[in-house]
Amino acid sequence: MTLKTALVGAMLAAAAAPAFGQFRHYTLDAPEPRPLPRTVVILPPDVIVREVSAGGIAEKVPEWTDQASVALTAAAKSYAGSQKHYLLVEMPGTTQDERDELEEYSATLYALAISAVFLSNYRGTEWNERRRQFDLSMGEGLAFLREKSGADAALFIIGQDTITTPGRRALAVFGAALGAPVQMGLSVVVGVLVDLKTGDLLWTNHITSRVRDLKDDRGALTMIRGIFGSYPSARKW
Amino acid sequence: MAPRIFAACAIPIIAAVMSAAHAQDHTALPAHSVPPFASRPSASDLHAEENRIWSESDDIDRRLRRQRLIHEDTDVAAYLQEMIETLYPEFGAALRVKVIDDPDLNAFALPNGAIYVTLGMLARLENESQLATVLAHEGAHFTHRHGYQHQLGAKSRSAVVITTGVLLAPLMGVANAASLASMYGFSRDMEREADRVGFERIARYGFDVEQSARVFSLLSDEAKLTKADRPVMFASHPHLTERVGNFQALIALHPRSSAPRTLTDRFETLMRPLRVLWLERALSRVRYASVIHVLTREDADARFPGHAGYFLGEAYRMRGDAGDAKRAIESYVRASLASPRFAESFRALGVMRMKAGERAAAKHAFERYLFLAPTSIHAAFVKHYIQQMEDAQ
Repeated sequence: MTLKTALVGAMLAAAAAPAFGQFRHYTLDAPEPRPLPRTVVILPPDVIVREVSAGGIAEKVPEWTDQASVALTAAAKSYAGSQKHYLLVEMPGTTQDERDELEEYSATLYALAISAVFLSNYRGTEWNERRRQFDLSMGEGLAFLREKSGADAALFIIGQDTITTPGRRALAVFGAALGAPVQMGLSVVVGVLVDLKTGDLLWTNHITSRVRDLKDDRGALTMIRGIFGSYPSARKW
Repeated sequence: MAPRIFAACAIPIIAAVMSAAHAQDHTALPAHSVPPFASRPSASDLHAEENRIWSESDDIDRRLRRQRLIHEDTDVAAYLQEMIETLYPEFGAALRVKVIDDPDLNAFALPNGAIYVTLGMLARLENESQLATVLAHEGAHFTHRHGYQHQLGAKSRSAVVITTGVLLAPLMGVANAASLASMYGFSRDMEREADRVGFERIARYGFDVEQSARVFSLLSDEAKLTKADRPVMFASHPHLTERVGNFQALIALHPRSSAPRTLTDRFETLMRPLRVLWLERALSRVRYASVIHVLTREDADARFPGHAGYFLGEAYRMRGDAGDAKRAIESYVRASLASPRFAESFRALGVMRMKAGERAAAKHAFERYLFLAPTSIHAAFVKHYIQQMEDAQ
């Protein structure tokens, strides 16, 4: 490979990067129509933004995490409100124990969404079988939220974003030129709707993007729009 | 010839790319020039990158709490906090000690000053000076900012590895191995520093320095007898025997205090219930070898209540090696004599006697159990066993 070829390769790789920015969806819900909630409480997003160094070490960046949390909350409220899928209910005050409980639910739901993606992509049959009998439930532990908010369902939004440093981006260009790919940043947002009376999962969608930035208002709104693109009332059954 | 030309070209390219990638990201101090904290740090004392690992540490604290992994005992918590503040008075509550409800031997410090000690570690310690040794060591990791240094070192080494990997893909295995060896060595250096700083603290605040070497001897013995390669806490630490030697060298240089704080009533009062709790947890986690090792030590009777023999019997029974059934019965008998009001020993003894065909002895043990625990959830089963034996006669 000549130096010229390598440089052309690097430029092409850099130019092609936005093409990878299109969303990948992993929607899971019942194959048959079911009643959708009329009132929904949106929980504070469980989000973390990390920076990945040239060598691939990921570190949480607290200020970016806070920005992403604010941006995703605003985006979820504004988009859901404008689409009239359901009536938004304000998040009620909660105790420390209740917040801990909600964080545990969030972690479980994220693990569920990730394993669903894995099973859908790499294993095939298991998740298809699960979709045919879509009966996942979180149990009755969220009853306190129904009592406090009066909402029919809760929307969990879980986000993870990795942002690469300039050093890593420079390395990626060289890597692309030499045929050695370097993993770049990825934004992931998972939305899960849970029935607060039964604990049943009503719908979940998981999207990824290589170019959106969750700490940015526009990026957060685009990701939220992408999530709701598969919401049952936004589709024809 | 070709490899030489390749190497001649690759080395300057690696150097150039590494330097470019590093220059882009280089915002922090080099790891070796991070000064220790002199006192409780304020937010402004932290470098931006250090603030990140503190935030991650806060997340770990939250996760441990919300997963209910913290042993909540306000008296124990107050005692451990008092101890760390005695050892590091200038840091006040910046160092916070918590107990993890886990039977294995472990202790660790997070970069944000949270120190976690497992139930298993506390159960093994014999006195306050040994506890001080463990806490002083972990406190030194915080005061000397080892978490931050480790992160800086890891970033720097990983940048070298990945740059080399991108440009010299065929040699990636070598580069990885070199990086791992380097990370391992770095960690060992920090452990040695924490040992030295911790030792200075326990000496300064009147604890028995002899006990510092004793802690590592105890842990080393258990690691050998339980066939564990080494306890979890020391997975990346210098070898235990090497550390015992290091502490002995430090002790030799240090004049012994005339009246060191070694064993206090408060330590014993608080640790005794924890040791029994550890026995329950260790059995439920199949740590039979550890239970047998600890309960067959010469000092076990002094450190554990009489009914601890029941747990020893359970460990033998569940391990099931040759001769363990006999050892289990002997242990239950000893427990029933030492703590005649502890019902479980009699139930376990009854079951073992019944299996051995010793019906009269089994019935006697079961009847004693029903007398002591008439409303227990096992009572119906025990009555059924008695009925079965009577029917068989």
